[in-house]
Amino acid sequence: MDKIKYIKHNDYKAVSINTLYDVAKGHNGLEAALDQMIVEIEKVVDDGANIIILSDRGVSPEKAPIPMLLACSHAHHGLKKLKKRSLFGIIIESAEPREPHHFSLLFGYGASAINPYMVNEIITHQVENDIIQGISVEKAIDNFNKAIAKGIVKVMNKIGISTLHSYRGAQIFEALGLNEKFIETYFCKTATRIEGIGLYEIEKEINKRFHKAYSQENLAGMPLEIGGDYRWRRDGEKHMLNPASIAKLQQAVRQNKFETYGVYSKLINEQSEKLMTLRGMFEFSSFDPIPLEEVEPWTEIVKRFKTGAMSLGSISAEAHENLAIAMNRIGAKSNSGEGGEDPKRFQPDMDGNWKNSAIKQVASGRFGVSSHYLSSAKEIQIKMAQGAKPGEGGQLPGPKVNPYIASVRNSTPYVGLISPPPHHDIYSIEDLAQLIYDLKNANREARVNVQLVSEVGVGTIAAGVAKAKADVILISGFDGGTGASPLTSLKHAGLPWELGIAEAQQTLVMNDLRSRIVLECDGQMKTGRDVAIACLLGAEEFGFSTAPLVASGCIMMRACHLNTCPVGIATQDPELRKNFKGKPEHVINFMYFVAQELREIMASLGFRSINEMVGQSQKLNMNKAINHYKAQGIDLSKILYKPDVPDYVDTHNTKKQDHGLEKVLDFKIVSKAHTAIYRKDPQHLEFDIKNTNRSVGAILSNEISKIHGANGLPEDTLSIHFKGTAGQSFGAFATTGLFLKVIGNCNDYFGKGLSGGKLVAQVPKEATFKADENIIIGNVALYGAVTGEAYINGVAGERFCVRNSGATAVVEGIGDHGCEYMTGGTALVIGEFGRNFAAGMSGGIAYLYSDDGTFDDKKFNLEMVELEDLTDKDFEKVQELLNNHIDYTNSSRAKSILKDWKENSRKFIKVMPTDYKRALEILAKEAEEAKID
Amino acid sequence: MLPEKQGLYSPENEHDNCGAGFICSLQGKKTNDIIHKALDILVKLEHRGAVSADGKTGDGAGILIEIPHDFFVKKCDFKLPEFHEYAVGMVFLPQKENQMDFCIQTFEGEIKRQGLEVLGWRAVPVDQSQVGAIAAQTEPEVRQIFVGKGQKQLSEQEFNTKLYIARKVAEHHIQGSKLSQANYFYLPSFSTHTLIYKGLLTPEDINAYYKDLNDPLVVTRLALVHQRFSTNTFPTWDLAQPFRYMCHNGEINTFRGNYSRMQTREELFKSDAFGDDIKKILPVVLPAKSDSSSMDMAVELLLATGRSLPEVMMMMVPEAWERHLSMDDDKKAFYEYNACIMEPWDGPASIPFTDGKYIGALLDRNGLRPSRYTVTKDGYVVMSSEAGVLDIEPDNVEKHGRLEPGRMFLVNMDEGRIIEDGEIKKEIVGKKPYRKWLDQNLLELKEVPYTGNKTPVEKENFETRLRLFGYTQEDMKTIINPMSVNAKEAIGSMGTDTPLAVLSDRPQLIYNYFKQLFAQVTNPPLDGIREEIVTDTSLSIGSDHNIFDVVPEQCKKLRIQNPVISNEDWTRSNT
Repeated sequence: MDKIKYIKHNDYKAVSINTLYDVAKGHNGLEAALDQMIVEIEKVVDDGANIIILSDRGVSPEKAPIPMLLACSHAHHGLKKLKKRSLFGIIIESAEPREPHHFSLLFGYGASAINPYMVNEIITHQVENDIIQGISVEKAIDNFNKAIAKGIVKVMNKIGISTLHSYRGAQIFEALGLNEKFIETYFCKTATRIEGIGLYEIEKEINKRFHKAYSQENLAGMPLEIGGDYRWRRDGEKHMLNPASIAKLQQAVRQNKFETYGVYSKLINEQSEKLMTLRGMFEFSSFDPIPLEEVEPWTEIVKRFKTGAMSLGSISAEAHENLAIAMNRIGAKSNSGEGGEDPKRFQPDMDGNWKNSAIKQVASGRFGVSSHYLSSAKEIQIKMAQGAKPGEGGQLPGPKVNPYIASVRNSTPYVGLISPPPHHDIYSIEDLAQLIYDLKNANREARVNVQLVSEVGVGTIAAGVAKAKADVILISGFDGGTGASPLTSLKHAGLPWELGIAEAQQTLVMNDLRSRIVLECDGQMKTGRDVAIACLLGAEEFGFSTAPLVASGCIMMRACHLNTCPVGIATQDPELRKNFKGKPEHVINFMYFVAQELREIMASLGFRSINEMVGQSQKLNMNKAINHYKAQGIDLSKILYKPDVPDYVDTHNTKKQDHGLEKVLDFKIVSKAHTAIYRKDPQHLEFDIKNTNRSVGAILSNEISKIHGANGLPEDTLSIHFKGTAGQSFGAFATTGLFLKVIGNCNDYFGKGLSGGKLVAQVPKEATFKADENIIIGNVALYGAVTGEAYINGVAGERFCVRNSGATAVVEGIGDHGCEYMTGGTALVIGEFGRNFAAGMSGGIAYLYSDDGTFDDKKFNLEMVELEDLTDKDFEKVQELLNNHIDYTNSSRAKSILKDWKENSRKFIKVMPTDYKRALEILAKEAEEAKID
Repeated sequence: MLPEKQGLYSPENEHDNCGAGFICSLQGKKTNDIIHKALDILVKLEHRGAVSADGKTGDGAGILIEIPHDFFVKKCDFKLPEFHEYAVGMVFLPQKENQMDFCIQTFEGEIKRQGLEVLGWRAVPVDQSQVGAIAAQTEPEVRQIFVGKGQKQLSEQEFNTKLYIARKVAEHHIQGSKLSQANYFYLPSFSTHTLIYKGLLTPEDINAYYKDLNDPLVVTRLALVHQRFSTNTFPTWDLAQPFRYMCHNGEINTFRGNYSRMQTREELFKSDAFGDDIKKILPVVLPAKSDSSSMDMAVELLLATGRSLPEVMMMMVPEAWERHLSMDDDKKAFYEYNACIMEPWDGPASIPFTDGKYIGALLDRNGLRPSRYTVTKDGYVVMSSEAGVLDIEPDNVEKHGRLEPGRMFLVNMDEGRIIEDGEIKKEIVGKKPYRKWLDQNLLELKEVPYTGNKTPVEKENFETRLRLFGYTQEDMKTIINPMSVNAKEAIGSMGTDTPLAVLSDRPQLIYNYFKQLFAQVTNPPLDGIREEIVTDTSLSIGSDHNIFDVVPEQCKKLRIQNPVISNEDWTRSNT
């Protein structure tokens, strides 16, 4: 820092500007200091300074720090208004920033570099006092800076930005609880929608801290305040689920006592009203009571209830199945989460218990997403974003992937699994439309649900999703989610659902799209009152995650990511799992109680059914009794706004989407393929194909899965040749027994979710160009392929075999990011390949070939893989694949390689994930031991 | 028109994505058939667009072609100069006659003020029955204006600059007039080479609506087509694509930052060609337009600085050069130099572009959008979001290719050949001694010497300051400690159920009142861990320079690799 501060260079002049204000003068002092700062900066810039250092050093009993973000943004905008912003860069020297979120904000509002000097001091202090052991101060600070840089990259990546250069000054944030006047003055053009506090209250907060720090001299030597934001602590920040409320809920569901639930719900609702959430600030109004009996029965209402997406893997099989049984019994829906599901659960068991999750999730990892899995769903949910960490991926570490979990996820035991941040088949809205179309083809009876997370603009996104033909849109609050997540994402990404659901409702109604969509809402939904508010704001279905887990025994240890859950819920440890005491009845009781409480509210407001109630926000008011210095300025009227639309515009779901499936090529195929599908007799068919024929094979596979389950048909039973150009998602979820060959070329998402079928893309024999120099299939081929084979007589695009779990593929050239996140299967590439090969590849094997037998190291991402020579077994495998490739595609390249095998066999290399190698060794050992036993 | 801000809705949040493509004759043969082939491409991409609640109104589609000179000579009741010696403007005007007249007069006035000559106007014949009910609400009057060079001898660049100024000033004037239909005034194109027919139409309806396109005299050697998928059902004719020089299929994620930085840059604009008019064209990027439309406006400006279209595209959408280990140094220097001037316009996008002479396309650094092309033996190049959009016999295929991440390809119809990425860029990066300029001007933080001065130690004691800045035990243990030990952030679970900052009794840091936004649906979040090669955290500090100048001073900047800096610059530091 000193280097820049005291720089002596002809081209650079750095000037420090102090960002302190006279604390005695209160908010006027703060305001004056901010204005003075602009005057000072202008002066020094006019004098030739081109580096401005904003510094909050030098606090004293008279001088308090201006919040640095406020100073930075004001300097940025203030000088922009003066048209002098292009003349200098801002460097921050501040005691404030400590989390990636803080740094991201400072960059987002114009800073070019940040020196967190206080953190430097703290780390120095921690090292000197042995709180940090074994590393030097220098290293520890370096680590911290690196962690922050990584954190910032994560925040940037969340919004899809790859360079800090483009992120700086982009202001990609939404303010929550700051008033418009304040924002307009200091954070120009930032969205803020519920008003809130301004400079006066902000100064009051600084003052409070300031006085506490100074006035209580006797605090010297006492510990700092505890904090308690991330976990409940006595004397710490308030949490809604605290030991008292948890105990009451568990008591209520175990004893089946509505009165005890009443105590719980009162605890939660009152806390909520004691100003912890936005919904806490509402009160019901315009009462118009009707007898309770006239309200639709609880058995109808719970059909609109769902449990949240928690994967098997993140929670134990016992807890997962318990939720499914409970929800199926009352006609509600449980959610598989993203980890696949054991096919045994698709049918009711001997006791009549049905463990099938009605909702099957499709997340970016695509674990276990096969034709059969999708065929067993009543609803298929596309997880676009997750409340706890929107825009981020996840990771299931190797040791957690036991053989059972691996089997339902179609992966290799003990191999770590990565969920990528994006769905690699959704980079834009027409891609989402395509995935919805794929899934609708994979199971026509199931509704397709798209999960979004609340943020400013989610309404317009929802309108786009409605136009992309989703059946259900789920708006999640930022606060929900049970999964593991970086701490700052947990708190700082996304908005409460009150804003999201209301924005979605308003925007969909304005666009006259509301009638075609079912709107669902979730996020810390705990009581009937919560549900009632969500409904009045526009939701017609409702999701619960944390509360049903608490009903099943969760005590909120917040150790889900540690595998040490003491009540056997969020753990895979066999011993701990025995502690699971939850019963389906507990979950059912909870749902029943919530529905009853909701019915009481409905009766008091005069609604006989949920349909009548959806979006009737005039029945809500902001509680006038609020008397809190910060909350007073909040204005919720925008949430309660109802757009002015003609009478014919419906404000709740009244009709179904037209998916336009009648023209799908598969229907023609199915009508001709009865022999194969029903009698398993081999059949050969031929069709022409065009790029408008999309998702070919999905309906066909759905029909086969419905009849024959996961096993499909015997190998190559139904062989179909297509001539022309196949549309997107050719062979999507193609199941075992299908042999689909395109003579021509294909588009993106070739073999998505391949479920056992065989796919071939072959260059027409009339063509004169060389196959290995011409592209034949598009980007993102074999995404999430479960098993099966693919032979590609030409070059593929970017991200070939991304997240392949078990398919075998031969291809004559590929683009960048090949075999990314692959967890199993085999890829043989006998041509050129692009950059970043094998990034995040934790399993499976890739064989590469080059004409001169050399490989450029720089093209690989060697973080998780090693490059090895082939063994004899590998050579056998490669030869076999090449021979298959010739049989299916007549590939001249494969022929020429085999022709001089002795010479050419030296030109291969094997890409082996280290994790995978270790897992195979464990498995071999286990098999060995099993033999001995 | 987009509705006003109301309730929680704000028009600023609208997004759009789409399908795009072009077809051109490699030998530069002009035909009317190209138009129909191009429209056929759009019809085959229809599943990439969307239709509104009325079942008829599309989200917008359009076609860019060359100016059909012979057609206009025949159709116009006034005399036209030689081809390329005059400009044709496609003009959307208000429906109300009095307002239309105002726009026409204003626009003509500005054209004349530039010393140019209005040759005449032509009403564009349209079939209104082709428009859906929603689109009809805001259907503009469509006319073409013909503008000559006037008395003076003007070079093409000078003529273009004057056309640009006239249009910009008229736009600002009319938008500022507060007329109820001021928003109708819009010029899809105004050029000596290209002409754009577009509207809130579905692909099938473009040539039914614009009858011109069926006239055999309307011939072109290239056609660029686009079809839009937007997140609303509100009728916005002007946001249909293509735009004047480009269209794009994707989304610019960095748009907010780019927009704000463009405004800052305007402070320093200076140009002899523009003279005093430079102030009148500001702001260059109009507020509240789509990301694509805004990008097009920035492209226009950069072209006006004398840079070529491919150079502008390289500047705005650079390859991921920062961590590219095997990139040619001249190219790296070009990108590094331009990074001092312009930040990337980054996001998943495939961007076809043309100035009527060249036609080409560029793909984003991450390769997040599909772009496939086919060259046929009978001399056509077809590029689009999908393969198979035109029926081409297998034996007629010369080559099937795709655009690769950060790569460009260009068709030079005069020379009748495709110029590959390497060749185009080699020429551009060799124009100036960028590496030398960088060596002489760009300063790395690690090269900055200490001057011996030190920041004085704080007077207040450590603990008081901890309390003053709101540090808690949790901050120390849960936040800072794990990061300094493991070099990464700590993990938690089970969501959050504490009060919102504004509802908390505890004094909050101002950061807690802000929430991060994130990508969903219209653009993807990125994977900076596994796809690190495309990310970069370096920043440069120092004053900016006039964007019109390509001079060494542009890169007088101080560059910092990790802009989180320590109190002391450790020897093995993060600079």
